[in-house]
Amino acid sequence: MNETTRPDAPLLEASGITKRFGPVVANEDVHLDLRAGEVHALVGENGAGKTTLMRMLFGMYQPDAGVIRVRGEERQFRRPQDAIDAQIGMVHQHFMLVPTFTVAENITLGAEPGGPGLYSKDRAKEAIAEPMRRLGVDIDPEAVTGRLSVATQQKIEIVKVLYRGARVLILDEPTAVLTPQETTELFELLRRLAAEGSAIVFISHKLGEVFAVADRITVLRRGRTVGTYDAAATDAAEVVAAMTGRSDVNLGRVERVVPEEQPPVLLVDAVSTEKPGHDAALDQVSFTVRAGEILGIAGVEGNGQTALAEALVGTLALTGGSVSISGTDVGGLDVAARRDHGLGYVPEDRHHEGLPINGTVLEAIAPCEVRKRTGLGVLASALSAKVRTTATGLVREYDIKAAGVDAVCSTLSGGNQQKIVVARELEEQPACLVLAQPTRGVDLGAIEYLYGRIAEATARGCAVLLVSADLDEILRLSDRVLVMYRGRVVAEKQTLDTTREELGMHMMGATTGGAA
Amino acid sequence: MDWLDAFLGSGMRFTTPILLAALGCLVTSWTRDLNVGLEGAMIFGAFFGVAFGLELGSGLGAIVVTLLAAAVAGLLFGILITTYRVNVFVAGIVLNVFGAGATVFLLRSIYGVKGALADDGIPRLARIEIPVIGDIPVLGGLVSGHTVLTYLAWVLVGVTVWAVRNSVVVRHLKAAGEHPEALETAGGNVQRMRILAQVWCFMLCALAGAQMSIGQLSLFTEGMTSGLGFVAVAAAIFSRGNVLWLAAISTVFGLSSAAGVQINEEVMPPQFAQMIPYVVALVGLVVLARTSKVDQVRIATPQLQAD
Repeated sequence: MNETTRPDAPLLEASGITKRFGPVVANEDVHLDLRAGEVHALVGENGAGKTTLMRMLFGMYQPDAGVIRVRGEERQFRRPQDAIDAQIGMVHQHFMLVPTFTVAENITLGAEPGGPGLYSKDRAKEAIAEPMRRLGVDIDPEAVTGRLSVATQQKIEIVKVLYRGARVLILDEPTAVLTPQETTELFELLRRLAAEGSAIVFISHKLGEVFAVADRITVLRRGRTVGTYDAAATDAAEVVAAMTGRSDVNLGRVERVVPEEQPPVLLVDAVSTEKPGHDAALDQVSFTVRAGEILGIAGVEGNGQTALAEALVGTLALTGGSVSISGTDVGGLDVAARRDHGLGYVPEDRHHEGLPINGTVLEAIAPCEVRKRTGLGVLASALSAKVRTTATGLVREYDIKAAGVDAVCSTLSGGNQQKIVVARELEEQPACLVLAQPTRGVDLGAIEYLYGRIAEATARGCAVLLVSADLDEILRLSDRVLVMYRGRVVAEKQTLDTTREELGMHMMGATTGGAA
Repeated sequence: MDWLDAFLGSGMRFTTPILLAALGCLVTSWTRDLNVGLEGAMIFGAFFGVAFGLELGSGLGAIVVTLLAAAVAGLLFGILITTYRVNVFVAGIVLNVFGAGATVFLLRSIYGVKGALADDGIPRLARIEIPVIGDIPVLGGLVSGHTVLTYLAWVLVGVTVWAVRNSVVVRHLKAAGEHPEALETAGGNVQRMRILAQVWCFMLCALAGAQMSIGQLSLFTEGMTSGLGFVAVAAAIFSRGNVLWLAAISTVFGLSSAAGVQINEEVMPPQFAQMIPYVVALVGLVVLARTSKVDQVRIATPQLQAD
C-alpha cells in the first residue's frame, strides 16, 4: 500500500480534467468522484463528453490537464493496462468481445491462465467460475461468443471486468441494447456489485433508468460538469434542465391534435414473409393506420418489427397477404414505386440505409429530388443548383447543425444526421411514413424537435407507423400500440389506456382478445 | 512401383515450399493482414540462400543467415503496414514485383550472369535417408530422402496445431485481427502482433525459397519460384484458418504439381499435364464457394445493426 493512500478517499476521483481534439474541446475542467458502494450515473446529451471522460479514466486517452486519483493517490494512465492495474474496468458500448472466441477465451483475453505464454482451457474455466458466481450468472464457458444474445454478451463483458479484479466498473450506455426486462436484470446485478463495495459508473441519457439505479448523478453539458446531485434529492426535471440548459423540455406525451375518424391510409392484411436473417418471419400480420394517426409497434427486438418495416417498404418480399396505401395495392411493387404511391421511410440503420455516412449533407438530401427525374433529366447534373438550393433551405428549416451542405455526414452528431433523414422524407409529403427506431443515438433536444415535426406531419394527414424498441417513445408519441411477438401481433392497446408493465407482459408473449 | 515412389517423393518435394509459405501466410490471415507477397519473399529467400551459401560454403549456415535477413525484412514490412498504414494488399503486390526485379538485378550486378547462377561452390542441403523405412516401397518415397526443411515443415504443422490450442500468442494474433479494440482494451498490443505475424511469414517464405534453390537443387534461376507463392496464398485462403486443412491442401497442390512434371508424354501432352495443379486449384475454389457458410459467426453491434 502506498502511504499516500487514504482509506476514506474516494475510490476514484478526477478533477480539472481537460481534453482537446484539435480545436474541439471535448472535456473542460471536469470533476467526478466515485465512492465505494455507489452507483454513480453520468448523464449528458450526445457529444457532452461522457465517453471521452470515461476513456481517459480507462487510459485510452490521456488528459491535457487535470489529475486522476485512485484512493487519494495520483495516477497516470498511459494505456488500458495501467487502468486495469488500478482496478478499473470498462464495459464499452460496442462490445469488446472477439466473436469467434469462446466465452472463456474472451473473459481471460489479456490475462490468460496456464503459465507464461500458455493458455489452458481447463484452468480458464476454473478461473472464470469465481467472477461468474459473484455476478450470479451462469454462462457456458465453451460457447462461441458471437452466437450468444446481446444481453448475454453484456454479462460476459461484466464478468471479464470482474475477472481482472476491477473495483470500479464503468458501463457506457449499457441499456441501449437491452429490453426492459433485461435492463431490470442488469440493474440488479449492478446493485449487487455495489453492495459488495464496488463503485459503478453508469453512463446513460435515459433518465428513467438513471433514477431507477443511481445513488448520485453527475451531469455533463458541452464538456463541462454542471453538477453532481443526490438521486434522492433531485428529480428528472432538474436533471434535464442541467443536461440541456433549458427548463422547458417536454419529457411527457407529445401534445398534438388527435384527428377524428379519418379514412385508413395504410392497410396491412394477413401479411406473411420468409424468415430474414436478422429477424423473425412475419405471420399473418394485419392492421390499419388512419390518416393523421400514429400507430406504435412495440416488442423485444427480433420479433418481427424490422421485418415488418422492410416488408412495408419493399426490401423484404411478401409470401402472403397484401399491403395497400391509400387504396392502391403496393404488395408487388418495388421500393421506388411504393415511394411514388406516397410511402416515406426512416430506416433503423441510419449509417447503412438512412444516409451516405461518408457523403455530404447535400448528397444525403439529393436522392428525393433526383429520383423524380424522367427522360433526359437523368443525364443532368445530380447535384444541380436547384438541388443545392433545396438542401440549403432544408438545413436551415430543420435547424441542422452542419458547417454547410458540403459537410460530411459522419462529422455530424446522431441527432443532426437523423434530422437530415427526416427532413428528406417529410419533404416528399408522404401519405404514410414508416419510422424505424427514429431516435436511436439522438439527443434529447433533437428528439423533441423530431417529435414536433412528426406531429406536424400527422396534423396534415400523414399516417405514421412508429417501430421502436423504446417503450417511452411509443408511450409519448403513439395513439395506438401493437405488440409483436415471434412475428405475430399479440396485443393491441390504446396508448392512454395502457402501461409499461402491461406492454412488457405482452412483449414476453402474453396474448389478449384485442389481438388481430 | 518405381514410378509411384518417384511421384510421391517428387510430390513431397513440391509440397515443402508450398506448405512452409502457406503456414506463414496463415498467421497473417489471423491478423487480417493477408500477405499476398509470398512469391516475392520466396524468390528473395531462394536468391539469398544461394548467395549466402556461396559466401559461407555451408547450407545450414546459409539458412540461418537468410532467416535473420528475412526477420529484418518482415519487421520493416510490418512497420510499413502498421505505423505507416500502407495497404497490405498493395504492399504485397509491390513485394512480388520488387522480388522478381531485384533478384534479376542482383544476379547481374553481383555475379554478372543472366538467367541462372550455377556454381560448384553453392552448397546443397543434405538429403536425409532414413534407414529401413527408406527401403519400404511407397512409404520410402514419402518419408525418406528429403532435406531437413521438409521435415521442419511438418514439425511446424504440429507446432502450429499445438499453439492454436494452447498458446497465448495465437489467441492475441487472432484477436488483433478480428477485434483489435478488444485486445487493446484487455491490455494486449495489436501493433506488435501484426508485425510479429509478418516477421513469421517472411521467415517461413525465406525457408520456402531456400528449399527450392539449395534444397531441391543447388542453383538459382530467375523466377524459379514459378507461382508457388501464389499457390501457397490460395492454400492459406482455402484452409479458412484450419491448420490441418492447410497441410492437406498444400499436399494436394504439391502432388498435383508433381503429377504435372512426372506424367509421361505418352499419357498426355505435357502442356495438359502442366495444367493439372491449376485445374485442381480451380475445382477447389468452386467446391469451397459452394460449401462456404453464408451465416458466419458475428457479434451484435449495439445501436446500429448491419444485416
